[in-house]
Amino acid sequence: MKTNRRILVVDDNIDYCEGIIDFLEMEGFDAIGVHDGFKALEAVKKEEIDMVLMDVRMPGMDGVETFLKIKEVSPDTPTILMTAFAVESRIREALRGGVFGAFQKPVDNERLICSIKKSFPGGAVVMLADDDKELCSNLLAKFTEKGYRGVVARNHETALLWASEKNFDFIILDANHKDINSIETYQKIRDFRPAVDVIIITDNKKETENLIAQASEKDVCAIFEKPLDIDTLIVTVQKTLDSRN
Amino acid sequence: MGNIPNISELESTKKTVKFFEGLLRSTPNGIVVTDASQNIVLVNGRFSSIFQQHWRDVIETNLFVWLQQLDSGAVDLWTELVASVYREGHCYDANFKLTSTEGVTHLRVNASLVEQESTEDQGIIISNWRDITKQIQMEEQVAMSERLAVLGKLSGSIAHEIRNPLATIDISALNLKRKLKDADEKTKSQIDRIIKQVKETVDTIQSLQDLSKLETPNKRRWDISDIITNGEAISALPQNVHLINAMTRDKLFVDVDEKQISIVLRNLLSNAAHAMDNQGTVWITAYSDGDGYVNISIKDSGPGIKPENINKIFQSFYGTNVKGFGYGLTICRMIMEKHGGTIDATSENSKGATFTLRFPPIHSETV
Repeated sequence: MKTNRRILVVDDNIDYCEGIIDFLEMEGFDAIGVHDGFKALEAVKKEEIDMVLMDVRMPGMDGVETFLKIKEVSPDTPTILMTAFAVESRIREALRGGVFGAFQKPVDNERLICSIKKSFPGGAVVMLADDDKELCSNLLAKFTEKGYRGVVARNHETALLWASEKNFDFIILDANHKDINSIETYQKIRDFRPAVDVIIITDNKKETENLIAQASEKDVCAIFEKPLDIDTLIVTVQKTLDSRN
Repeated sequence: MGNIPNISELESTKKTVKFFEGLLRSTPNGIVVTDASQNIVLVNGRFSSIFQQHWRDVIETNLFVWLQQLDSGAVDLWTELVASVYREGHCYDANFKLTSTEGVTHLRVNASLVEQESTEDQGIIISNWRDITKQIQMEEQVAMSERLAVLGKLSGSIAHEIRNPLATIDISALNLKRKLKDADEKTKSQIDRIIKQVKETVDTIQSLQDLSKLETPNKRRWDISDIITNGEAISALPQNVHLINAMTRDKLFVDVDEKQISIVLRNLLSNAAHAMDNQGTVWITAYSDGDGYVNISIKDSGPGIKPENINKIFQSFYGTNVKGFGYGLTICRMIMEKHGGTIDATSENSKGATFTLRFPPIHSETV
C-alpha cells in the first residue's frame, strides 16, 4: 500500500513551520518539522523523507549550506527553498547546485503545491513558454499523452519565475527574432539552470541562430521554425531525454 | 545763477519719471504700492502678469480684488501683514499661493511703510512679490530624493523582517479558511480580509524593493505597442476587469528601459483594477502629440479621483498618501522623470481617472 509523501519542513520560525505543516497535511502530505540545518541533516539520514522544504536564513547553518550537505547524503531528495529575500546571489548559487525550486515569502501556496508535486518522481517536467494559447494547449495535450508533466508560461517574466520555482527537465521557449527579451530570458534561465535542455521556437531560424551565437550561448538543444512541426519536436524531446538517462 | 529754464525742468522731470518707470519694469519682482485704503497707486508689469493682466488694468483698483484670486486665506494674511507694517514699519516674509489650471505659483511677499512728509499720504505701503515657485519645486525634489535614498537603504532589511511574519499570518489564515469552509459568511469574510490585507502589504513591500533596485534606465528603442503588451502581460488583471486596447496601427517608437516602464504600467493597471473594485473597463491607448512626444493613456471606469487629491497622489513619501494609492505612483513618477518624461492624472467627477505617460521624442541620430 502506497503511503503519503513525507515532507520535511525546516524553518527557524516555529510559528511558520507549524503553519506550513498544517497546510501540507491538509493537502494530503505527511509533514514533520525541524528548526535548524543540523537537525534537518539528521532527519534526512535517519528517516524516510521524500522532499525537503527549507528556509534560507537560519542561524548556524543556512538553507543553502544544508541543501548542499543533504545532496551529499541523499542526492535524490528534492529540496525547495523559501526566503524572505528576493532571488539573489545565494539563491542563484543554490539553483545552480540543483535545488528543485526557490520561493519568496510569503509563498504563493498554490504554486508551492504545484512545485512540490512536480518534485516527486514521475514523467519529465516540461515548461512551454509561448504566448500562443492554441499552440501551447496543442503541445500540452501531446506531452501529457506521452506521460510528461507540462506547465505553460505565457510571457517571459513568468517563464523566468517558473524556472526558479521548478527544476524542469525541458524548456520550450518561444523567441521572436525581433524581441531582444526572449534571448535575455534564455540567458537568464541558463545562468541559474545550467543543466536544463532548451528548445527554441522562432519565426526566423537564421536570425535567432545569429542572436544565440552572439550571446555566446551555444547549448540550445534545437531551434524550430514556425509553423511548428509538433511531431518532430516531440521526437526531439524524447530522444534528448532518453540519451540523458 | 540757479535759474533753470522751465522747459528743461520739465525735461528733467520726464527723465526722472522714465528712470523710475524703468526701475519698476526691470526689477524681477512684482512691486505694488498701496494707500491706506489698499488702493493700488503704483504697480509694475511683473505683479500684473501674475494675474495675466496689463498694469494699466491693475493700477487704481483695490488690492483685495487681486488677493481674492489667490488661494484661500490670502485676504487674512495680507491684513495681518499690513497690521505688522503699521506697527513695526516692516514685516516678515509671507507666502501666498495661486492655484490655476497651469499649476501652483508660490509667491513670497514682504512689505514696508513708505515714509512721507505730508500727513495725507500716511499709510502708504510698498510690497515686493517674489515668485519662488522654481525654488520650492527644487526644494521638494531634493527632499524627495533624500527620502528615497534613505528608503532604498532601509527597504531591503525591512522587507525581510516584514515578509517573515506576513508569511506566518498568511499561511495561518489560509489554514483557518480551509478548516472553516462551512462557517457562516461573516466568519469567512473576516478570514478573506486578512488574506487580502496581507497581499496588499506584500505589494507595498514589493514596490519598496522595486524602488531600491531602481537604476539609471537602460534605454533601447521600442515599438510602444510591444511595451504595452509586455506591461499588460506582467499585470495579471483580475478576470472581471475588461481591457480595451484602443491603439492606432501607426508604429510609435520610444527610447526606454522596457523593464522600468513595465513597472509603471503594472502599477497603473493594478491601481485601475483596485479603484474599480476589480470590476470594470480599462482603456489603454497610445498616440503622438504635436511636439513629437509619445503618450500612453490609461483610463478606467472607476469612481475617479477627488480634485483635492489629484495633486497629492504622486507624493506618498510626503505623508500625504491618499487612500488607495500606495508608493506605486511615486515610483511611476520617478521612473518617468528618469526617462525625461512625465506622468499626469486627470479625473472627471465620478467618471473614472485617466493617467497619461508622456515620453520625449526619439533622437533620430541614435538609430
